[in-house]
Amino acid sequence: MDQREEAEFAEYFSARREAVRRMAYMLCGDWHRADDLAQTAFVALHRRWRKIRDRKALDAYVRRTVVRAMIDESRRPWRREHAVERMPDGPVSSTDLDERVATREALLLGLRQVAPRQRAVLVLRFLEGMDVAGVAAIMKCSEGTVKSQTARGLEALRGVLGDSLDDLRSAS
Amino acid sequence: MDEQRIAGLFREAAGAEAPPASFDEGDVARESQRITRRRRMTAAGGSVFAVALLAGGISVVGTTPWQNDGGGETVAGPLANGQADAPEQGPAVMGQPLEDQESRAEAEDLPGTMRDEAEPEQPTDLPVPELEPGSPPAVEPVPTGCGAVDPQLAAALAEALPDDAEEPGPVDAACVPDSRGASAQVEDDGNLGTVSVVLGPPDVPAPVVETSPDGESHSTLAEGGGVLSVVSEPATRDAEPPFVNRLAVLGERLADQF
Repeated sequence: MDQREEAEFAEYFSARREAVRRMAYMLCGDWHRADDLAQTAFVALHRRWRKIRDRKALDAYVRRTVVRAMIDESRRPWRREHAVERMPDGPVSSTDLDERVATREALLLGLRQVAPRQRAVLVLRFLEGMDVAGVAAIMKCSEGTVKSQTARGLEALRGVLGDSLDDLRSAS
Repeated sequence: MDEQRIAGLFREAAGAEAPPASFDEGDVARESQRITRRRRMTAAGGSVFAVALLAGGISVVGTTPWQNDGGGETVAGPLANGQADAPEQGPAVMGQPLEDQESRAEAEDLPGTMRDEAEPEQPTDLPVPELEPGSPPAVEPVPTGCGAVDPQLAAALAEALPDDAEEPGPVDAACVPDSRGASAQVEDDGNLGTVSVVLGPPDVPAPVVETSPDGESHSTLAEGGGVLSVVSEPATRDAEPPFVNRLAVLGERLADQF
């Protein structure tokens, strides 16, 4: 890339790095892995930067790369994600702050119990704020599939979280 | 309950206590350039080998997934001379730099970004069946799952591999029951190892064969409904698996046949 292109990439990187890291974190639940996923996406973007004609599609490209990397990684046998019989004990809350922390950790733990594709749909919809059509484009599936994955993902969250997240009770 | 409330929970969970990023723009640029250099070197090495073959008077016509890296460069393989005769359905794009073809499937299915309308369709990473949450894998790979070498897969693998690859034999890995497989020892630019193809029974989700931490694999849905996985394992630990950049191309090609 020439200097102008490098500067453009650097500007995009600076503006989007933290958001991409947070999305990756919600997908995998671990900041080290999240940084790996985010960096993978930015490296892929850097290598194709000069070929990109529609700069409006940058976010979609990065999101899709992160999601695909997460799903691919979850399929590898040595990193295959397994469900557990019992959820780890969450922090005991006694104050509002504690309750917020407990709710946050319960959500993260619950997401880890959701199938990777359903988890990706939930993160794209509720963290990234994408509509059903946008998620369908990212996931390369129908809008009906996004809706069903959303419902099943939330149902799975309810199943593992019990009453700890009342907000999910009627949301699908 | 509205979706905004859920979104708020997600944002709060994602935004809290984020540690400093472990990479910056310089790291990204360096890694990008390192990959580009490495792939150019691989392509250049293949070119030298191809020239040596041509000088020796070897001329073979045909195509395999191991050739056709484009950009005027060829990769290691006895069929390099047949590149000009590559059929339209060939796996690679003529005239494209090698690094531009890597991970093409990932790039091409994005709306309005990288696709060049003049380019032919490339294989994409097709979705494979997913396991449901909270349940163990429906079928676990077992040590003898692949059984004896499958003649059809062996023939297809032998046709796809360079001529100097050994004759395919059984897969030495854990596969799901009732799967079929074939495996061959190969050498790719000094990287020794095995390339295996395993076809799982219909409706059995991936993975259908286990891959070691040093190996690489590509899985896709075959025509018959089973998951087809192509696995490359290096001969020694921590070595580079052979033909690792061609697994997707080989997998998609074989998936069309099975």
